[in-house]
Amino acid sequence: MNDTDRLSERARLRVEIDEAAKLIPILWPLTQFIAVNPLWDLVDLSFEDAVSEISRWLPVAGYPVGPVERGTGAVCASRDRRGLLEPPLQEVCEGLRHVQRGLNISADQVSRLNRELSNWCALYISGVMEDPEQRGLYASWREYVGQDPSMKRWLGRQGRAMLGEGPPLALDSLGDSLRALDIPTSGWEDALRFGLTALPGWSAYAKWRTRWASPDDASPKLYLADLLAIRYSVQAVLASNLGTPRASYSALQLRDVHSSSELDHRDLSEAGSNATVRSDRWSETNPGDLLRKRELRYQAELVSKLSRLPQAENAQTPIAQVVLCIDVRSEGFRRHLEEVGPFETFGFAGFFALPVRFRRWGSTEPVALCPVIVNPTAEVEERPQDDDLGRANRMIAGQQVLGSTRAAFDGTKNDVISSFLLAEAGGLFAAPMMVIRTAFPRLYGEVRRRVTGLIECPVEIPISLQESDGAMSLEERVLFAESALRSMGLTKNFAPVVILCGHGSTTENNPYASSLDRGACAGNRGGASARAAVAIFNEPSVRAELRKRSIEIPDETVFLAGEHDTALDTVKLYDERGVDPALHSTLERVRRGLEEAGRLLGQERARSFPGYQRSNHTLEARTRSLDWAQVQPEWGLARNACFIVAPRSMTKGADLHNRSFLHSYNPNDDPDGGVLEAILTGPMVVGHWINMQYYFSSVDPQVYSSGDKTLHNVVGGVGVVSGVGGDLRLGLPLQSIEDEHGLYHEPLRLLVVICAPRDRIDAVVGRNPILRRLLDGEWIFLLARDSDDGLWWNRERNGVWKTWSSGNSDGNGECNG
Amino acid sequence: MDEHWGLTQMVKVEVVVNGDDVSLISNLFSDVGATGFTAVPNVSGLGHSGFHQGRLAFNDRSGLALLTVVLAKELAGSLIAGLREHFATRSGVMMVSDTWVSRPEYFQQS
Repeated sequence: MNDTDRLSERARLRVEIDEAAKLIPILWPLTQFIAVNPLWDLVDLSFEDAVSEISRWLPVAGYPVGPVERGTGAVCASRDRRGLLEPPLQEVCEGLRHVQRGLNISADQVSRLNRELSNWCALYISGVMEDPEQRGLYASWREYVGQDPSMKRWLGRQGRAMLGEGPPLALDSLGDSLRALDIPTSGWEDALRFGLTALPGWSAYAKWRTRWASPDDASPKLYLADLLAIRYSVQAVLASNLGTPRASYSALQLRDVHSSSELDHRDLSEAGSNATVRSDRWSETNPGDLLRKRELRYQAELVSKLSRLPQAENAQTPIAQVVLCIDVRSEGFRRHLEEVGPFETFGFAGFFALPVRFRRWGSTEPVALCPVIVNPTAEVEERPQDDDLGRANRMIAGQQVLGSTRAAFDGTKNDVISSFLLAEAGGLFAAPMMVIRTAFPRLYGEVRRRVTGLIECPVEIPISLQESDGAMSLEERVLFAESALRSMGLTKNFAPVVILCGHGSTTENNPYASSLDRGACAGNRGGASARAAVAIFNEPSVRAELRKRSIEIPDETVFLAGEHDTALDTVKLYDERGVDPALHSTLERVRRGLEEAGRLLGQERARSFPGYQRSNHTLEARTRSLDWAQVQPEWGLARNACFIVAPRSMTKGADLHNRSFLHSYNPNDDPDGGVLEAILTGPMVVGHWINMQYYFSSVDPQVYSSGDKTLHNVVGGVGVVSGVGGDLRLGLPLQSIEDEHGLYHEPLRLLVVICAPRDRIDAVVGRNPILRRLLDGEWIFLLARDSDDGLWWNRERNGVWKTWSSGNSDGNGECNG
Repeated sequence: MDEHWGLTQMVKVEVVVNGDDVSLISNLFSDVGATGFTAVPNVSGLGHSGFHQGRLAFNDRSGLALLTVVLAKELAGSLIAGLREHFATRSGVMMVSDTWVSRPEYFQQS
């Protein structure tokens, strides 16, 4: 093969790998867990077609089955945990089976190869397989495999040596192997699909590393091409060793794929081994129709609830305006806060429209504080004032002491020899601590907090807006402030205190902690975003410029940052030192209101927990978050079902059961639809990802849920495996979506409710293909309340609007043409 | 390579692709030996699949991006082969034209 052909083949393979990887979800590292639509790269297809396509390759049903009533109006699939081992039906995954036959590789060999490949990935990710020059998994493996004893046992000394002799580049090796296997180029893409779907977890991580991570990201370089190159190198050696006829792929392509049904594809891959395919039950009712019926029932209940609300009255002047994230967990907090005092609340994307990287004082690595679909454009950092510099440096020293101690402890614990010494030396201290931690988690949490505080001497370091490399200019800050205020509908009638409230979740011993933090901040806690935004809103020069743009923030109004802890139901306020003493009494009232709202929400949430006992409901929620043995510290965004873009007056007073993303929107302030467009193409897309993550984790847990938390082992900090090894697990743990009664999450596709004129919505949808695809493909549904006529309108997939009424007795709504 | 006015002839490839595909296309450029490229995110326009909005306030992945790469003629064929494969299933456009540069060594791997 000459150089030009080699380059052409590389280019072609690169594209074909990417095309094949459309079947694979994206798996972010655990520390920045992002809920994602596992079928996101198939949204060019309709939901129905995408499910049909994916089910050819992975044991995916795509629809909930089995009506089980739970709570009011919820119909969910029931799943016995042991039911995950239901045998798969043979008529699914015909694509996978077909390619396997074409490759002439047995199910046992595929299983063995999956095991070996998983081990190599784990060794690479955890640093055992060294890669000092950061060349990637394939290059490291090429040097490592020559010494791998298991390869000698499987392939023989000569076969093992052949593995290390492939070309240095993964793409070149892959091309050589596919040719060695006699796979015609027309079949390469299917072969790549087979290779990726055989280990969907590692492939999903590799997809993140290949497509989403920054090229200079420090995480291990495990790319899609690496995985495939290794897989097919081994397969090529296997075929060569056995002297079997190579692939009969071209012949098989002409055969009826449905005729080859004798294979037991439980052995095909670990992903396929636990299939729950329920097509026997499908025959009774079309699952798509059943799902739609459930969605319409939810819609009817929602419309009925919102239509019954009294007209908004002129409320008394609020003492504070509180802007919370659109996250469904904010809905309950907002509802209770409005009950307990004169508070006005708003919902806004939790990064407050500020796409920045944040650098904590003493840290060298900034953290991105925006959704993963937004590229951070500037950097903000903590910088102590001169008189605080000493205390700030003491804090850093304390943090270093704690960090070193933790690292030394972990190193000793993980070492083969020293772990025994640690048990001998530290057992007397550790044993009683373990008992206290287990029996009295809140006491332990308090003691640890105090000890940590003593060593760390925490001090609040302000966010600096000083212009430097990468910082925002004054013009950018003004632009941000104006656009954020207009987007959240807060341009006049400012209260004395305005709180921007991010959120985070405090949990113990939880590899999935970041899944409970904020998706809008790339899986990080949200306090820093709020602090950065507040620093800009309080800046006199920014306010002066805003005045020129008709946004008059009174001098006596102060913006404060807060962070809502969704596990503890508390709100921590930041940077209060500079608040005018005249506002102290107001601030005290605000604090009491926030505390009371949190208490009420805690009581409400406690009732939804498994094992809820009426006697201790006040402390139930808080205790859970501090209990290291607790696998269900909070429900996260379970039961999410709708995304409402409307002024608060449309939803105020309604108990939406923490199922609604609430984005403030005033249609009167947005005549050209610019704000609506920003909401629908940004936060709504993130909401759709979250919705689909919960949906597929619920309906197809064997593929899209990471399974039982109690079996998880963390691998290299990037993901979890169930038990001792195997493929990385995808999606949410079972404990995030179900309890002892079955599914807690109700799998429904996202209902987007917009209060705006229909022609404005049409214009926004018309100029954004992503919205057209999501709506016309029935990935989401759109219900509008026309701000002109007050009627409810459903948008059909062809773009036609039909009025919606929710009046009939069984709660089902209906469309009128 | 042809010489004109002291300049060196090379091939310019311009593509408009989905924001989601920028990393794929830039990897493709590297695979065939391009030494750099220019990317313009959030471009707008009208095409086969309707109008595409330009900059979206809170989404940098769903818009369109324009990528321009200049490379030697002997490498262009390989890149075009890969791009044709790409556009067989995805939306976007590719424009290929002759171009002349003053410092050809900047566009070739040493």
